[in-house]
Amino acid sequence: MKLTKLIGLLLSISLLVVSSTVVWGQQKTQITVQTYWSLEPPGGVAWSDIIKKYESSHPDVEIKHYYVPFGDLVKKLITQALTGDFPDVVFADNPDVQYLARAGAFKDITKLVQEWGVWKDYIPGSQLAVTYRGKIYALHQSTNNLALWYNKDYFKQIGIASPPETWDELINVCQKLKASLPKVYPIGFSARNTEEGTWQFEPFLWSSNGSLLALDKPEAVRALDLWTTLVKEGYAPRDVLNWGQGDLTQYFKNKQLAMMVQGDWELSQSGLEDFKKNGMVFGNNFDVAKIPVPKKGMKPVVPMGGECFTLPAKGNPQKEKIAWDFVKFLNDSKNMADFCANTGRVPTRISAIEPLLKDRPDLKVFTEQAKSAVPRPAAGAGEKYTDVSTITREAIQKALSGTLSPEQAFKEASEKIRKLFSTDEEYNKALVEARSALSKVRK
Amino acid sequence: MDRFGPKRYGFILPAIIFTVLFAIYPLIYNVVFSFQDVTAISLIQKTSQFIGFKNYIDTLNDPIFRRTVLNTLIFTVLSILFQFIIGFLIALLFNKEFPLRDFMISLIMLPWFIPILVSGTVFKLFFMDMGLINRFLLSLKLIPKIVPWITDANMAIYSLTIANIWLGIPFNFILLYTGLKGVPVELYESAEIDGAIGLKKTLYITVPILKPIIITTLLLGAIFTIKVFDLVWIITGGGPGNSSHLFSTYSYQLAFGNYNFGLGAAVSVIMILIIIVVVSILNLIKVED
Repeated sequence: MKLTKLIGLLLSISLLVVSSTVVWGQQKTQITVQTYWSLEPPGGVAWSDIIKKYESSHPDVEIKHYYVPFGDLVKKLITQALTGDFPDVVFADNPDVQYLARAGAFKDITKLVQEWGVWKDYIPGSQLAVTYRGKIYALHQSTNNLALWYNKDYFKQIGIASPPETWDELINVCQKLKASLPKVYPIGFSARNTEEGTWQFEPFLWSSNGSLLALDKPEAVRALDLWTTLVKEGYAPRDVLNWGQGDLTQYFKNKQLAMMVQGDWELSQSGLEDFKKNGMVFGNNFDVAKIPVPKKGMKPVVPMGGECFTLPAKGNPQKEKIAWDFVKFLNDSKNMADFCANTGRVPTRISAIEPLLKDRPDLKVFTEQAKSAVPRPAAGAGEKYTDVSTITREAIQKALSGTLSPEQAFKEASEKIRKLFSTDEEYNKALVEARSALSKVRK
Repeated sequence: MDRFGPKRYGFILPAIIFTVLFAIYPLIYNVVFSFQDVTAISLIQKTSQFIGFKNYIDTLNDPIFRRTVLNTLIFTVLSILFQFIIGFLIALLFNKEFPLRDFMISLIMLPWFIPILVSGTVFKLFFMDMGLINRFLLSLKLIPKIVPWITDANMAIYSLTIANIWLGIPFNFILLYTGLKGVPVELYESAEIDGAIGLKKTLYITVPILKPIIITTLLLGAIFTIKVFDLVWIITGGGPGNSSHLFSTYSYQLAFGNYNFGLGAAVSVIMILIIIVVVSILNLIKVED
């Protein structure tokens, strides 16, 4: 008796819950979005603002955000692709787009993008990043890249007027900094055993005309040689082997590093406040400069960062229209510029760059570099990029820790990378693709 | 009531269902994966091919894997040895009455209560080239120059072992300490009358009586140590140059870093086999007793 009563009670409660959501559902359409961006202030203000802005202009839509930690997003999308149970709007870091498109997690949105008609407004790297086998699979909502950050006070102290532009100048500045400031490390970068390590090395590799698919070539080896020299001479601590990019900012803020390789996302409004709290004002105490190149006249080529929004392969057809509308809203030129101004990012649409720079002239170095930024898979064997990256950073770590010389480390790596391809033809095709991606953005 | 009839299986049914669903099924799935060419793409498109022992052959030919085997051996043997010795010595010390003993015991247990994410990060800061240990030793002039604790390919695994020893002491201590509490005082008293002193008491009374507990401690210690993951992942991430991987971190990197689930599964199956062998050997000793 008691049991039936209990079951009856539970049933009525669940019915009540179900019916109330149905009533709610009639009033508002709920669109689910999944990202690794937090909505919490101060960092998440821009993201939660843009969601609120959409909701207030579309009172019949409710945006429900699901937060997934950075390291879990691709795993989550793979699981969702297996079960077919996707959120209405999906999101991924740009180097993962081609892989996820190939895996069948994303929808081919070529037609929708063509109908919208703003495709030509995207910078070349952003177009490359979301295209797989001639089809568009996502829209690149914002980008970021790496530059050389330097402590102006330290530079003044040792009498250097401008930041180093070439590798020789970089070594020279490091030498001077080390001689006069023994407690400060001249430079820091991240050579950690994660994608961060490869991503931080690529600006030097690509600016030197090197390719991830031909690491045994002198252009590539000299880039690793530069990093190894920086560590060997004590200009950078060996700790770079374990440092993530977040660590770099901490040491730079604490004035333990005179220079660092770092991205523009640290120049968000809240990030700038943090710097101020440490007595560092952008432009006065520290500044950013383009990544140094091997020789004068060469052009810095950096990897392209930033995230993409799109529709899942199997979405809810009734909600797809609203979901696409939300993706377009996020990619709207004005919204993009506002979002970037707050988060210290670079717009992917050319028409949004000028409005952003009016607001944030300090992002100029990054917007310039973005125009020639390369998406990593395009210059690193497409869907094999994760393997290529793993092998590359293993070699970087071997050289920096002194296990192997730069030549040996990259020779070993290039042999391993070659083995990822079953035929010469396949390898040569990837090599040509990587070369053409790099030359495309260099123009 | 029929005590031996088929009805009695009803009582163990929940346990069986639970084990099959949450332990045996994933385990078998993992073994199946290890014989297939599984990547994220083939998983979603359901195009994984059966490739026999290729994953295992590739794994055994992989220099990083061989290094990983050596690392796991160094890490496990040294960790268990020192955790046990230090834990045992502390347990012996605390077996004597002295003021503030209970408070001190809770201090000893502290490493166990701290999340590994926190202690791992602290160890990373300690071991860094510009970290606390180097600064301390340099200022005392105990070392002529910086020691690359976690940035040298040969040293990293030993530094990780030191961190793990620290983490494992409380576990060894508390098991052995509770065991010591169960040794009757009369035994020591009569031994003293027979002229046993100091070390002799420990060797001939404490150790034989504690033998089952000692074996259990070593057994659990071995299982816990072979599968350590977070500590290594936080401090070195398997670096520099993949020189400090354990089975767990390497298998994770293959499966979830490179999305090569087949290879990752093969590494983890080998790890499970090794754990089964180690546990069986230790169990054999226990049974013989």
